[in-house]
Amino acid sequence: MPDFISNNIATINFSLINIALGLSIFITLFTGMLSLANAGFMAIGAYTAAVIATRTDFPLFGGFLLAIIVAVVVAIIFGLLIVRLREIFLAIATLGFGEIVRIFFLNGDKVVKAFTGDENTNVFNGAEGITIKYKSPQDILGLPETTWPLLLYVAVLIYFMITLQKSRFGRVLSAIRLDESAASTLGINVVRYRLLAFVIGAGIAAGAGALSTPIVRVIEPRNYVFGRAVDILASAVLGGMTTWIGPVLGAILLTALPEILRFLKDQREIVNGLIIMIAIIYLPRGISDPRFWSSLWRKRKSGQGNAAEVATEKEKEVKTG
Amino acid sequence: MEQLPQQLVNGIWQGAALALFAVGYTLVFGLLDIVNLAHGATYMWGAFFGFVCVTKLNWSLWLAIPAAMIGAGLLAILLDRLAFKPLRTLTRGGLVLWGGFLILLLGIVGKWDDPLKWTLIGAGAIIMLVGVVQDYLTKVPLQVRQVPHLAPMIASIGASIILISLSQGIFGAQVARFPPGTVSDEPIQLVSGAVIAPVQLLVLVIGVVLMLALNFLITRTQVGRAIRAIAFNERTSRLLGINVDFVIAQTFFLSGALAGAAGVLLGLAVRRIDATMGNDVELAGLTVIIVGGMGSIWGAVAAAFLVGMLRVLSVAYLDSSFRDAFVFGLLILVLLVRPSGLFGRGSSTRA
Repeated sequence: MPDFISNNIATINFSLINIALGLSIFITLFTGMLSLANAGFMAIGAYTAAVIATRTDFPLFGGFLLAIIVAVVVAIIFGLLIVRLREIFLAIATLGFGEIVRIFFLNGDKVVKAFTGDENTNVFNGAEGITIKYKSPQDILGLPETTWPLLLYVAVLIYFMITLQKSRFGRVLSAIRLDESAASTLGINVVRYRLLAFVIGAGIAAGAGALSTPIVRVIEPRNYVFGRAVDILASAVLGGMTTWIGPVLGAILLTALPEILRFLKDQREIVNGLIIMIAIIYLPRGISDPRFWSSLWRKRKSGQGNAAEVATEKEKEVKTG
Repeated sequence: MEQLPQQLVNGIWQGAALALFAVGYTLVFGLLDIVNLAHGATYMWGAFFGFVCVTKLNWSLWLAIPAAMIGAGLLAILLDRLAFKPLRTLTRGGLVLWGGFLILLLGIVGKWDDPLKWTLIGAGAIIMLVGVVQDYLTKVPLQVRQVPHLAPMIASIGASIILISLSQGIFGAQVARFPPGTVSDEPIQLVSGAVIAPVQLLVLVIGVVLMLALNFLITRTQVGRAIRAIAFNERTSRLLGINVDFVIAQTFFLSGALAGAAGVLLGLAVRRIDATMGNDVELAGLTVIIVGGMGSIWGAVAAAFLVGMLRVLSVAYLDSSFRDAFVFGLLILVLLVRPSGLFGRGSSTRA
């Protein structure tokens, strides 16, 4: 076991980061909002933590808290603007936000120079990004010390998601996803709850970004491009969006796939794409689709056809996004 | 300010190329409500088709552009059959098609000896063809499906990964260029100190011609009427006897052909063809179709010129490094003021 961990520590770390990111987009999808701003908020978190780490003596935890606070403030301001948008329009607006954030970090030093009037300050270092000094991590209880905070963070997030689905707050979000006008007739302030979900998602993504700094070490704008936002979405959708298990499974699968397929060398990207396509065609509701697994279970028990299931499947159809 | 005429010229030809790309996007979205993220990969393959025609087959550019359009159009149909059709209706033919596709990929990707490699590729292609025909003739599908909104988008991401890595495998990772002299380099003097390179003029002319042709097709022909009918209401069109599946294939062909033309033309104009060239246009295209109003063709064209102009002018008069930030700023602004886009008229009057 220790061998397995030390051999695959990078995969484990990145899986944990991607799980946190998958959960951050899950909460907005759970409310029926397709937000692609998470890569941007991750960048905000990572840059905040990296600046704190390189310029002050604060421990990682301080940077982590500050990163979440910064992201939440930005999310509230931006969210107030866009939270009334729907579906694909929301997706594109948030995508635009993500790109603006990336471009800001790419060229932010110009802005800083313009404000301070000092030509020698380089906060963000443009395309090179911020490099954090390498300290070889010590092992604590079989895991490197950089992995522990991530593991703890993911555990807290999963606990939060489990309680969410049982709480009143979670049901309100779910109601908004299923039927917004019905929800607002029941006296739910739809806009406020949508904003809340957006801000929580932003905070989670920023936290993941902050905790990823000691692992990624080079914080550069290239890490937070459009493709990154799409990857986050892909892991959530591939895993399935009915419960929190979906994003977790999807993130692990998508992070591990290139590693598992390493023996294919040049061809692994193609196989990677094929697996994504086949998985989504065979299980359009994601790998964790509870209906699929329960039907599998029932089939094994009774072995009868599933005509009734096909009928209910259509009725139960929930538009996500 | 004395640069202004030149900047306007640059903005216009870039807008024309962007319009070609974005109209294909918006056609598919208007018809099926799918954001086809593999559109950029189709565009890239179109550029490579044109490139191969010019360099390997020594065809003239006038032959290479239509060839690339047909190639990219067929690729788009294949994309629909492999990635999107199984999510609408699952047929036996569709499964055969997938089987053939896997064999074909195995043939292309694997390190086989020569006769075996071509046997695999040939067999895969024939099985795929059988699958397409069988799929087309199917009267009773295995399953009519209702999938979540985002599933087609994820399928298109997978397809895009495959297409990009295939082209990297076949054409290599380095940047390809059309041989110099494909189009003459002599700039043409326009009025008041603005010049336009012949290749840019070519982009503009072909762009405008194709837009007009598309407009004719959509508004005046039977195919166009069918496309509009399906965009309006698919179920009713089916009841009225329109072969919905065939029309969808035609729409994908149109969308792919336009993307292919855009690929060759931009590949010529910016002198750069590589596997990732689709990524840059993808985002600009998304912006264009949103600003123009999802599904509205003329909206997309107008927005493409607007975005092209904005990109050029922000480089010339503001800060070049913030170019895309201005474009996305415009995007968010438009969404706030008119959430359905500048020319969108709600969802019922698409295409």
